[in-house]
Amino acid sequence: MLDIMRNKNKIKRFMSFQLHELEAVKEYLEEMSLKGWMIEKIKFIGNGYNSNFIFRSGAYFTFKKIKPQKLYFSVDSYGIPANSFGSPYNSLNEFIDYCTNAGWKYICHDQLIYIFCSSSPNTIPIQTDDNIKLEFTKKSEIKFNLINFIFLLLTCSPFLFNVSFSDYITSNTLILSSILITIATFFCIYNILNFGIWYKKAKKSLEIGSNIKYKTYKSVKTKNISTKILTSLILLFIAYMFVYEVLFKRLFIPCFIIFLLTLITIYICSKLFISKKEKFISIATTSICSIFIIGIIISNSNFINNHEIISGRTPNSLSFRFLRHDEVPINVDDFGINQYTYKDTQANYSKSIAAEILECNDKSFSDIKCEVQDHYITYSVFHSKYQWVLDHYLSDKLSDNTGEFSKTYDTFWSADEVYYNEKENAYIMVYNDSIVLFSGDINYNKNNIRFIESQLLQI
Amino acid sequence: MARKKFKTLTEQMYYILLSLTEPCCGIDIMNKVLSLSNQRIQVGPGTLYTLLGNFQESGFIQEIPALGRKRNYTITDLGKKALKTEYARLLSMVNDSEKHIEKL
Repeated sequence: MLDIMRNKNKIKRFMSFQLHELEAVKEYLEEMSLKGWMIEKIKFIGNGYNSNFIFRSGAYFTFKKIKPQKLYFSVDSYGIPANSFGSPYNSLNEFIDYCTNAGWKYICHDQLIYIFCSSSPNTIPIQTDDNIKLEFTKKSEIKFNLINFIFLLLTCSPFLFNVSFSDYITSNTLILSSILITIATFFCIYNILNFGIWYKKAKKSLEIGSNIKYKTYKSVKTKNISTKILTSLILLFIAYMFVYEVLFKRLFIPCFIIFLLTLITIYICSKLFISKKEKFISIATTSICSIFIIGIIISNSNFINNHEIISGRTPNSLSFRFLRHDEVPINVDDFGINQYTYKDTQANYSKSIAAEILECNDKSFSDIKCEVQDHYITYSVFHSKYQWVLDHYLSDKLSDNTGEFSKTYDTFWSADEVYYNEKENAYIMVYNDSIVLFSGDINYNKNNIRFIESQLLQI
Repeated sequence: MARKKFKTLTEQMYYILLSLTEPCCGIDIMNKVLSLSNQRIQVGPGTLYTLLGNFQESGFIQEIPALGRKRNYTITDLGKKALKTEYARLLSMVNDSEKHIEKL
């Protein structure tokens, strides 16, 4: 899915790997050269430190057509400053010179990964000290994984704020994103464990003086399939969020501007600072700031709730569907309240595979500025096929108002269970497959209750 | 920290320092190590590059001005001291084991 065909003489391939799996990359390149494809360019996703959104996915390899032949590759990571001392003979040139002298042909590099090629199997390896290699791999891998973990946490942070159970269970976006985040977290932990176990084994074999056993191409290949599937899923999910949530809810423009500003800042930072540390700090700060700003915008605009915000009075800039005062199932007029007052109706409707909810808030005012409140009703209908969802929702609502709701039997409601809050004049009714919350300054007589039930339970 | 890293020198480190007792550029070190060790020790270019950087950082070697674009290095007093310490250690190892090995 992620493989891109360019033309017949060049192909692009994507491969996901960790730093201790470079031997597998080497095997892969050798296999490709036997098939007549020579590596030409390697490019990591992103710019290294924040090279991916959830976990470090890997790199693109560009191959060009050659005569099939047996070639030997060296793929290793080195911490070589790209440009030191500002002299034309910089560290990179020096490093490449050393390798050329030893019989290795420099092919390409990106970030820390350098690829060399040789036609003889007897060329002296570029790295002859396993201790140095192991320590460097450990350092880089830990750094990468830590950054991945921080990014993972930042990615889910907007979802962790301000989300109640009913918001969560009635939103497909939230359910889907939490599943994806869980998978990604497991993947991240798996990567760390995978490396940790390998490192421990490698360290032990160094201590007893035997060779380090590296991962083979075969084992990395299997992992690659799952990584590709997960990456595609996440990309699809982002596309879905973008189209459905961002575009429809008109968050597109502010988010796009912030995204653009972030890219510009990162670009300027990468040009402005030469030292890696400064670069990293500036890029990380920019990314974190923009993620937070976007998170705040999103969480303040009902993005994560998957709600349609319905407002009867003032057009809400973020909503895309309005409901008139007489379009909600019940409004204050239904209880014979003064027809000449000014009204404010707000309603949210949200539906997911697990549950759906309708929340409505209807007020009437006796002045045009809507300051003196006359009457109000507030209700919500929560509907779900799953008993545990209903149970959870009910206990959530009861514990929200600890001690205020108490079970009552002396009512006209036809519900299985009824809870009453005297202070707020509010009821919670538990029906077969839905839970209704109702409060308002109305008279709960037999007729009104029949009317409410007939209106709300058919939703 | 840097000193601790080189408490004992590995074979490759030892031979690199040994070959830098005369000023020499990086590329020549590889060949020099090979001939000093009678073709026994090979230093890979990547390892050499890393070790030269580490040595320079901890003051064991220093860069000396040179004509052309190649960078030349020479050992410092600190490096000499480290080399001598290692030499003494190796010598004592040989001396300590001499009698026992002969018996074998």
